[in-house]
Parts: sequence; structure tokens; C-alpha cells
Amino acid sequence: MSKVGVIMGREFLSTVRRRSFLIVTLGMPFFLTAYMAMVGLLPAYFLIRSGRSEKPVGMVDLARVVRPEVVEALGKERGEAGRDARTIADRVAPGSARVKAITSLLEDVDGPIEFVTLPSRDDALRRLREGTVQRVFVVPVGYLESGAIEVYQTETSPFARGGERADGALTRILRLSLAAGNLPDDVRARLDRPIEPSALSSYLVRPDGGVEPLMDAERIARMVIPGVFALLLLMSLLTSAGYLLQGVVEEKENRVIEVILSSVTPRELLFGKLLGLGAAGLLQLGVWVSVAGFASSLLAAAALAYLNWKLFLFCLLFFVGGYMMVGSLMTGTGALGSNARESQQLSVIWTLCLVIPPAMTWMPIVDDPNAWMARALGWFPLTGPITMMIRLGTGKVPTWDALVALVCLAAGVYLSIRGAAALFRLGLLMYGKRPSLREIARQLRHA
Amino acid sequence: MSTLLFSRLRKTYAATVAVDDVTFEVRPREVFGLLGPNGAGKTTLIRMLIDIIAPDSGEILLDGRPLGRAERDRIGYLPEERGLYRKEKVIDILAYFGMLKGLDRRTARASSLEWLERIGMPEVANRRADSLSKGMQQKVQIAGALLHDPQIVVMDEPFAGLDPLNTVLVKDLLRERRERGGLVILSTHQMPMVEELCDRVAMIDHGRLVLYGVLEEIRRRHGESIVLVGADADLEDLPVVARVEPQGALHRVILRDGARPRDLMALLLEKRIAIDHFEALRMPVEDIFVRTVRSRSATPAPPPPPVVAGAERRA
Repeated sequence: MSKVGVIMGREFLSTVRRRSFLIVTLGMPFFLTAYMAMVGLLPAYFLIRSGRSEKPVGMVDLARVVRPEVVEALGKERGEAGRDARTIADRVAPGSARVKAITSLLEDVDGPIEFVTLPSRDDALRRLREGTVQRVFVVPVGYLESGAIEVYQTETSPFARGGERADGALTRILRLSLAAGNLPDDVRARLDRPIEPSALSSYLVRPDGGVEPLMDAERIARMVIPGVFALLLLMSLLTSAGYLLQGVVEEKENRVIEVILSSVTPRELLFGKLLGLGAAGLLQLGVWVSVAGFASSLLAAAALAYLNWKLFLFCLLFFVGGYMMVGSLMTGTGALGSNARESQQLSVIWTLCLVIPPAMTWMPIVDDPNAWMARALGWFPLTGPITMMIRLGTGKVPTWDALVALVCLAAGVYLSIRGAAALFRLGLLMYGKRPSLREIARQLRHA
Repeated sequence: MSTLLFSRLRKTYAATVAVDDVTFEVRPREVFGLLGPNGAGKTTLIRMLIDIIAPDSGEILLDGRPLGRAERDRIGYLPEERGLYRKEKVIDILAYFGMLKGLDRRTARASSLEWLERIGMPEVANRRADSLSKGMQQKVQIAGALLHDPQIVVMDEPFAGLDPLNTVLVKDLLRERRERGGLVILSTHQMPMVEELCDRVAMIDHGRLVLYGVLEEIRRRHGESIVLVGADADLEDLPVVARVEPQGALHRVILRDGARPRDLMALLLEKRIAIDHFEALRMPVEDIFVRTVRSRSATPAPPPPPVVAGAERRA
């Protein structure tokens, strides 16, 4: 076994045997489940309950324009959010139990609104005071000319729950009632739903002029794969780099480092540690992802159904390159610290360099992934991994562009490992003190 | 049989010259003492040998060839600043050290157990390092430096923290390496250990080689100038005598430069002075050490490194 392999094996095993690693790895899914239940499911549950006990809306039609059959038909219909969710789900992951559960939840939250037709304004206001209706719409005489509507409610908040949905339902009732008898049925239906989501088709125009269908699911998958890789990269760096630094500081503090460096070069040590702890970090993420049932969720199903292998491969390469570069830089600078806290502070700067520029320019990059700024951030090794994942997600980046970014990243990885190994060598043998800037510059010149 | 040559090594840190044009040779079947006051440059020399630090100029050669990866794997090293992975089992730590030196997992574990047996601690194999006493940890680290049967052994203060019994054990281990044809480099401030173990020594001061050669020769050269004499006479008037100090009932006679005890004896006989006691003293290495360092501190500019017996410089 090579020495890098020996170090990698030890780092991996000593990390996964740590009690803190086991607690975090196995405990995180349970913690997240409980957390999701608290912040996500409980409000949803209460929404459903409140939705089911929602009072009807009173309607007084003094202008005589509302058709009772329209009110009755809409009272049975689901809201648009639930209907759209079902449409997308059927196209993306037909038959998935998890998807059905999610769309049912949405449909329950976005249930139908019941309207009751009342004879007069006074009667309606009395029922409002009694609390048997949640609000009252009055369509006054002269509505056709003025378009005026009177709304009566007991709540003062302009954001009172149900108001927006009730307004939407009233608009549909009025639109369909006005069209009834005056327009052919097919025109009436189209007026209600000018765009049918299930019949919406998108096409991609390639740079060579060719046109190809672009499926919604594929567009989602295009964004999902880079998104997942970007998330994994960040989490890998935040988790395994923490262990990496902890290990380096421990070896420095307990003086084992000098014995180790008598057997391996700083570069081999750095490389072995990166690989071993990277593997431990990936194992941790793998456990989290598996336990969370990610593989059966909506986004993963879409990603798997429309997996673009070229995109996947590029993202994987940017992930590995980004991890190697930032991980080595973090370790190199972390080794300069005289204690664990100082090392953490010194090393976190690289994560910020990786994340902040692409995060701040995310929207412009998505809008125009081949603009000079997007290209510059993509080709610069430190910001390249995340930027390229965002750019590749748009599907508009030419292959040569991605290859240039990969070459730049590879050069960055090479230089950062060389530089980090030099800093590593300098920092590891300085017990209890930090090297001066002049010493650091000198060491880097000789790297 | 291999010879290790440190050839014209130089290393600077900013404005400080840590090692300045140092050349010496370590031969097979010898324990070589690397001596010098704190901060003299000994650790820098050792770190250059094990390739933790690169020299600015000069080279280290084994049998005339630069040290490569395979040769460095044949070095066993016990640093002055040392420690173990506190929360890990002793057997795992030793096996890891062995594997880093190129042993396969099975051999590394077997050798680790064998060495724990040799240092009289087989029962600690599965104990965590932080449960051991300081002396026990020290012995485990010595085992870690030797378990891959190195050709070159470098030990920096190996006796620090050991009780007399374990000191004997470590001395025996070092002598055994010498008997088996190994090169042993011992860096220590414990001069009695140097007198007892070392065949040849090199002394570094302010990065320069100030003493180098066979220990007995160095001692003889420095020790010849002092004679303990029991005689009822005024010895200060003798031409070979620099000064006389009382030492109990005897006289401690310090001879002039170049004078030998036999010259004093001849004079005493010539002048028919009755002699009760005549003893040419062997100067303790510690005194040689202190005298050399003090004489250099008093000198404004350091002299060029002396080339003495056994230090022929290679081009």
C-alpha cells in the first residue's frame, strides 16, 4: 500500500470511529426529521385544519350577473396550486408514493372555497356579525359599467388568511358567469384557463440553430444536479475540513507530526488526509441523504429520470477539484495557527472565497451564463467550482468553455497543493507560535 | 556497510545562520554523538537528514549517493519534541508508524508486538496512549523508532524522563544497533551518556562545527594538560607549568600549551623532587564542552571549522 493510502486509511478509520462523528452522522437525520416536523409539517397540519373548518363566503348579487351553476361548479374544484402540483408530479415522477403524498398535502391546504348566495346586503351583514360567513362580497347595481365590488369582513388585517383565495375565486365566478351564454363553451373554458400547464411545450434553440424539445422535468434536473453537487461540496468542506483541521492541530499539539514527517513528505501527508477525510465526509453525507429518503423525493426522481451524463460528469469533476483545492488551502493555512481556534479562523477564509462571489452573482449568471463576468468567475479556480455548477445548470455553456474552466481548476489544484504543502511544512514544525508573513512568503517562493 | 556524509551543509532562517558550512561523517558500527548548546543547530541538522527541512546548500550522502526515498525509510527517528496519538491504542500507533516506514500491515503489527515485548511492556498493546506514564510513553516511542529495523538511528535526547533501569535498557538497545552494523546518531546534553556510548562526536556551536573526531582523541588532547601531583615542592616555578591549584592534599597542575605530562615528570625527576602521586587527568567531556563553548563566546569572530582526524572533506 502506498504511504498516501496508509494515511488515507488511518484518517478515514480514526474519523469514522470518533464518537462525535457517529453522533452527528446518525443523529442528524433524526434531528432534521424532528426539525422538519416542527417547522414544516405542524404549520401545514394547522393550515389543513383551518382550511377544513373554513367558513363559507357570502355573495349578494344585486347586479344579477352571477350564475348559480358556476358558483356550484367552482365550489367543488381544487385550488390552482394543488392542481398544478398534481400536473407537474404526474409528468416528472408518475406513480411515486412520495410525490402523491406531497401533492395531496398541497391540495388539502389549497382546498375549494364555498360560496353562499344571500338575498340582501342586510341579511349578509347580519350573518357576518353572527360569524356564520367569513366575509361578504356584494356585486352592486351598475357593476357592469363600473366594475365595483363591495367587500365586508370582520378582520382588519389586509393579509387575513383566505382573502386572496376568496378574491381569486370571485374573479373566476364573475368571469365565467359573464361569459356564460355569450360565448361558445370552448372559448369560455379557455378564458378560464388561457394556458393549460399540461399542454405547455418548451423548446431549446441550440447555438447551431437546431431546435429540440425542452422538458420541464429536464430543466428541473439540469438545475438539480448542479445544485446537489454545490450543496455536497459545501457540506463536505464544512464537515470534513473541520475534522481535517482538528487532526492537524492534534498532531501538531501532541508532537507526533515530526515522526510522521520523517516518513512521508508534507505533500503525501496532505494528500492522504484530504482523501481520507473526504471519504469520511462523503460517507456522512451518504448516510444523511439515504436516511432522509432523498432518492425517492421529487427532485431526485426528476434528476434520475432525465440524468444528463455529461452534465453529471462535469459537476463531479468540478466537485472533486473544488474539494481538493479548497481543502488543501484550508489545511495549509490552518497548519499556520498556533491553536485549534486560530487554525479555524485562518482556514474559513477559503470557504468564503469559494461561496460568496457566486452566491452574490447567482441571478446574473443564470440570466446570461456566457457573459464575461460569469465566464471570469467560472475560469478563476477559486470561484470556478460553484460558478460552473450554476452555469452548467442553464444548459447554455459550450463544452470548450467548461473544459477551459476544468484546465484552470486543475492548474489551481496543482498550485494550491504545492503552496499548501509548503505552508503545511512551515506551520507544522512551529510549535506554539505563528510564522511571520516574511517566512510565509519565503516558503511559498520555494514551493 | 554504509557511511553517512554531511557535506558542506548550510541553512539560514532570515538573518540567522542556523547551520554554516558543516561537514562530518558518520560511520557504520558507531554511536556518533551530536553535541552542542541549545540553539546551536543540531535539530536543524537532524531535520535536514530526515528531509523535513531542505538545506540552502550542501548535501547528505549515503555511500556517496544522495539519500532517496528508500534510504529515508531506513532511518529510525526519535525527535526531541515527541508525543503519541493520545486517544489511540498503543498497538495501532506503532503499527501505523511501521506502515509509514514501508512495512505491510501484518508485519508492522507483529513487529510492534515483538518490540513491546522487548521493552518489557507487552501488556500495554491494547491500552490507550494517554493511560501510560510519561516514561512508558517514552519507551513506546523508542520502540516506534526501531520497529522497522532501521539502518540509521537518530535519537534526540532519548534518556530524558527515563529511570535508571530504563536508561540501561535504552543504552543496551543503542549498543545492539551498533553491534549489528548500524549508524547511531545520538544528540544529548547528558555528557556521561556521551562518554559511555559514543565512539566519535561532532560539536556544533552557532551553526559551525567546532569539535569533531574520535572521542578518546579529543579527550586526550584536552585532558593531557592537567596533572594531579602529590609532592612537597613549589611546582609553579617549573617552566612547563602554567599554574597550580590546590586539590585536597594534592596539587592540580595545569601545564602550558604544548607541554605533556611526561615533560613534567622528566622535570620532577631531573630536579629530584620526591613524588607521592602523579596522575594525568582525563578531562570530562562536560568540561571540554563548557570550555569550548566559553572560549568561542569570548571570541568575536568564529574561526573556520577545524578539520581533524576522521573528517576528510569530500569535494
